[in-house]
Amino acid sequence: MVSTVFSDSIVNATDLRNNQKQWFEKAYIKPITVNYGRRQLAIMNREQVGRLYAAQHYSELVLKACEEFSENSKSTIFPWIEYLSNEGKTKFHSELLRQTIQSIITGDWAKVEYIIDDWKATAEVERNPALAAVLKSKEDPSQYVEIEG
Amino acid sequence: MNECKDFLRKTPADRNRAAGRLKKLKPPLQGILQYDVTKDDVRVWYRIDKNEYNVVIKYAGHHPNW
Repeated sequence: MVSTVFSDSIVNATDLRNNQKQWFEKAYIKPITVNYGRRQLAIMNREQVGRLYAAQHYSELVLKACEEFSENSKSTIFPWIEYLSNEGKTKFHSELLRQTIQSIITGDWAKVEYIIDDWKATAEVERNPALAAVLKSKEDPSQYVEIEG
Repeated sequence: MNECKDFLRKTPADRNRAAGRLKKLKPPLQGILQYDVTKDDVRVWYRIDKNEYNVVIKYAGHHPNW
């Protein structure tokens, strides 16, 4: 199976120089390739480039983490994961994978960052049983003290 | 610390106003929120009591035994 995932217009440097405005307008919508001797350069919308870089960064991160998880090996990507329970590890990977798929579609990677940050903070608390016990304990409202200022 | 107090008073669950300092803990600590007062280890962990309009601080200070 051969799938075309990238197609563009190709222009030589002379044509680009002579019709700059037209090619730049095109490049804003869809990438164009400029022949520069035997080499090729692409001109494209900066926001699209940013999205592509982010998608590559997070996809690599998440795929490596999933590989480590499936091999049940110690994580080098998220070393703090060892402080989560087995159920927590499974939930983290499942959430991370689901949100990554969503973010590839929407381009919003902040939600992937939130998931990683939230689980990391959870693992850091679980690492300390005394702190975890305090946070899980039920409070007594009669002991509440209002904070001034 | 004043920034933290202000945040807890006004928008204790709003990530958009926390500039990466707010974490929402996951099970078995679901319902607990963490605000990073400093970049190293000063934290405030709290719970929001929506019925009473209270923010209940569970622990504040350095991450113990770090």
